[in-house]
This record gives sequence, structure tokens and C-alpha cells, in this order.
Amino acid sequence: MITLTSSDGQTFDIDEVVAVEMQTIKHMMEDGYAESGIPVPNVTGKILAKVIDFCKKHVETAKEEELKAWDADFIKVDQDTLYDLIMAANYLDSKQLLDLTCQTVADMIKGKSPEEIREIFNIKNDFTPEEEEKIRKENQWAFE
Amino acid sequence: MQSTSKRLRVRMRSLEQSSTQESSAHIIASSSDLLSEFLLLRLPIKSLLKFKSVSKRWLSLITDPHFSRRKNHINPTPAASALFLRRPSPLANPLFTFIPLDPSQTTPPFTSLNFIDHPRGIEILQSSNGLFCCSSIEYNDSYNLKYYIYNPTTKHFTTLPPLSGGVVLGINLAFDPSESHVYKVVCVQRCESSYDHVLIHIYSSETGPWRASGGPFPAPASMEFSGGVYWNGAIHWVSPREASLYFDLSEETVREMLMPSLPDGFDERGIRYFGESLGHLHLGEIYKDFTSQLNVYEMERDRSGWFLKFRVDLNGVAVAFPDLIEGYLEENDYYHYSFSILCVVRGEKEEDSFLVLHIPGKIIGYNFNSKSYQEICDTDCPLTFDRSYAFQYIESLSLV
Repeated sequence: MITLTSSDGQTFDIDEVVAVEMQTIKHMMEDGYAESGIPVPNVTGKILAKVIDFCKKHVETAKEEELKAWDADFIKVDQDTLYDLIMAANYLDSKQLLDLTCQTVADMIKGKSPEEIREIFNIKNDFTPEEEEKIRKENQWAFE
Repeated sequence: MQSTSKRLRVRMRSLEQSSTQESSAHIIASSSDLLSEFLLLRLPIKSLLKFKSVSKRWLSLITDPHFSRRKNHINPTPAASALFLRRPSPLANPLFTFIPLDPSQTTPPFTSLNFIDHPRGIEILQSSNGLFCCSSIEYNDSYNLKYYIYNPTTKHFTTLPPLSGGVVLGINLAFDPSESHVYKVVCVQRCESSYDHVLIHIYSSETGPWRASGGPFPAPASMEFSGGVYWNGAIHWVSPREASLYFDLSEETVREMLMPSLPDGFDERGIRYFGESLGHLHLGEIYKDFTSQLNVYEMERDRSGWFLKFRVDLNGVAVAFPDLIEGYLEENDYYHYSFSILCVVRGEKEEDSFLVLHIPGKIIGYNFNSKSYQEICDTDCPLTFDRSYAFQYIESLSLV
């Protein structure tokens, strides 16, 4: 068993076989950090719990259909959690979780308007009205 | 992927430490690397075009050459999502008809080519993996034609330098983003000093101006240099009566292209289609006595020969679409079946490969595997037996 400690002090005991699903943890185990527990300072307990759930499920389940359905349910979380999961998946290096979370966000935003994108990511529109109009006109067909 | 993630993780750690109060969404959006890697590269091209107007930073990321190369790397051989048909008359307005092949492709990227002004307009000469080679339309003045390389998705274009020398017999675009972001243009001109010889000049998007490649070589009069197809590193040209040729772009040599054997009794090939799709080179032929049978051959990867890939019994198609048969023509007349083959479209999965046919008033798709057909759309574009008037449209961010 491996013990992971989140940024807010929560501890999680997980099987080695689940731990190695996260490449970062795997490398730390190989470097000899396993005995004293592994700190995960960039991820809160709430998010780490979910990442562990994901890894556990993916280790236990062989059937692709079942996994796909489970993933679809797993990813039904609020926006903030989704983005937090992306950061966690990247830090802990779980390619499957990263692909799932990023693609989910990509699918959610692909149909949005530029204004909506600015709102979601808190981006300032630094184009002049003329500049923005020119770009929109050039790519008008993509809006239809 | 691993080394990219490692680099991003290190960068992320420093971001986290400096901005613990910021939302993850904002952190991702603030970092160009994270934004590209996590989101932008996973978005469809149409969405990316819309998001160019989000902010200057997003515009810069999306139009960056490195970004377009990474996008191409992720999806190296995208399928054609539509075709553009060129109407027979150069006076037609609009000159092109848009035929969607993908149900999600509802809006044409353009209705007429007006990226630069020409009194008589611009036409498409060739399409190669997302880029078009275009020329101005001139009457009786072929020496003043201007040539362009155009990306119909991004609307960017480049003007090719002027050509000097003999009559231009064909201009061919060689572009394959899965191999390289560099495109080349191969121009075949009639040799001024020796009428039955031709000369090749090459233009490269990387090294610039036209330069002669090799010396003049004899070429058969029936060679269709304007209908070249770029595949597997070479431009291929077919000739119905004489040897077919190909020009290898890395070795810059012209070689004879082996063709399937002619059926007994024929001394001329019944070529009805020659084109490329998803990395496969196809040849479609019909022979007079077998007018109900279309053979689609595919070339072997090593160019050692062709193999029969699909066979279409046109009688089956004619039953569903009686307009296909011209009532007044004899059954073994070459034009008994009134149709034109626009494209052989290969699918990612074999069972998704289909044929696009132009019959009077309609464009239909014929699935090779299920032998079923569907109407793609109605069209008022007149039918023509000229082989290359359909151009594949492939979404691409590639730079010209």
C-alpha cells in the first residue's frame, strides 16, 4: 500500500497497482519515496480522491464499453472541478485522465461564441472593433 | 508526450505557487503551452477559426506555424469533407458548386474565389491535402496567367512567381502535411526548341523561385500534364494511349508508371477517374464492351503495380436512378451511362469508403461495401465528361 497526502493534509492509502497508473507517483516510488508516504502538494483532497477513483476503476475494469459508460458519468462534474482535474491529471501524469478531461472541455466549448469563451476564461478582448470585425468577416463561414 | 508533460508540469508548479487563488481555468488560459496542449489542439478547425477573434493572444496561437504543424501531426491524413465542382463554362457565376460529403459540413468556406481581383475570375487547378493551386482565368492569353497557392480554410494565399519559357502544359501542387509543411509546385512546359519535349520547373515554399529540374525529356502528346496527382512523394500523370509517368520529388527523376494491363482488343485506356484519397492512389476505368462495370484500382505502395480494389456494377446503381441511362444510346455505347466519377473517397474504416457520382441533376454516394447508394444532394451543375472538375476540400490550418 502507498500513502498519498493531498495539499490540505488528507491521506489516501492505495494499492501499488493503482498508484503506478499515475506516472509521477510511479517515478517517485522508483526513486524510493514509497516508505514515508508521498506528498501531493498541488492537488486538494477533493480532487485527489476523484483521480484515485479514476485510476482504481481503470485498473479494475477490462471491458471497454463499461469503462466508457463509467467515464461519461465520472466526468459529470462542475466546471471548476473539471479544470482542477485537468491540472491534477497533468501533474500526476495520467494520460487517460488528461485526454478524457481535456476532450470533455474541448467538446463543451467548441460550439461557443468568442464572447462566451472570454467569459469562461476571464479573457479581456484586446481587439479594436475594426480589428475584430475584420477577423470575423474573414472567417464568417465558421460561425454559421 | 511524456517529455512534453514533464515540461508542462514543471512550468505549472511555478504557476501554482504564484497564483494559488486563481481558478484552474484561468491558469490554463494564461499559459500558452497549457492552452494549446490541453484545449486548442483538441478543437475542430472550424471552432479554431471562430476563436481567432477571442483575443490577440488566441489569434497568435491559432495562426502560429508551429501550432498548425502540431495539429497536422495529430491528424495526419484527414478525409475530404466536401467537393468543389467547377462548372464547364468559365462565364458561369458562381463558378463553383459546393458538395458536402460530411453531414456536419453545411457551410461552404467560400462561394466564389475572390481572394484577389481578376476581371474574369479565378479557378482551381488542383487540390492537394488542404491547399489549392489556383490560376486567374484569361481567354486566349495563357501567357499572362497568374498562379496562386490558396488555403480555402484560412483564406490565406501566396502568389507564385511568374513563369517564362514555353507553353505551360500543367501545374501540379505537391503537398502532404504528414510528411512536411513545405509544399512544392511542379510546372511542366513545352520545350521551346523541341516541340515533342517538355521541361520541368519546381517551386518550393521553403526555397522559393522556379528552378529547372533536369533537362528536356520526350513526352507523349496525349499525356495529361494538367491532371497530375500527388501521392507517395511523386506527381503521377496518366496517358490514355501511351506510357504513363511519374515524377519523384525527392530524386527529381521522371519514370514510367506501370499501369494495369489493357483488356484484349483495346489499345486505348478507358480512364474515368484518377485521384488520391487518404493516402491511396486510385484509377477508375471502364471499357466499351463492359460499360456496366467500373474497375477501381489502387496502386501498390512500392509502385510495383496495381490491384483491383473495388468493382462497381453500374446496373445496380442504374436501377435506383433510371436517369443514369440515356434512353437513346446503345447499351454498349461508351456514354450509355450518363455519369461522371467525381471522387473515390476512402474511409478511416474500410466499410466507410464510397464513390461520389455525378448523374443528371444529382450527386450520389455509392458505398463499396454495402453496395448501397444515397443521394448527397441535387445539383444544377451540368454533367461533363471532362475528368478533373471535382476538387477535394480538406479543412486545414496549413500555411501557404
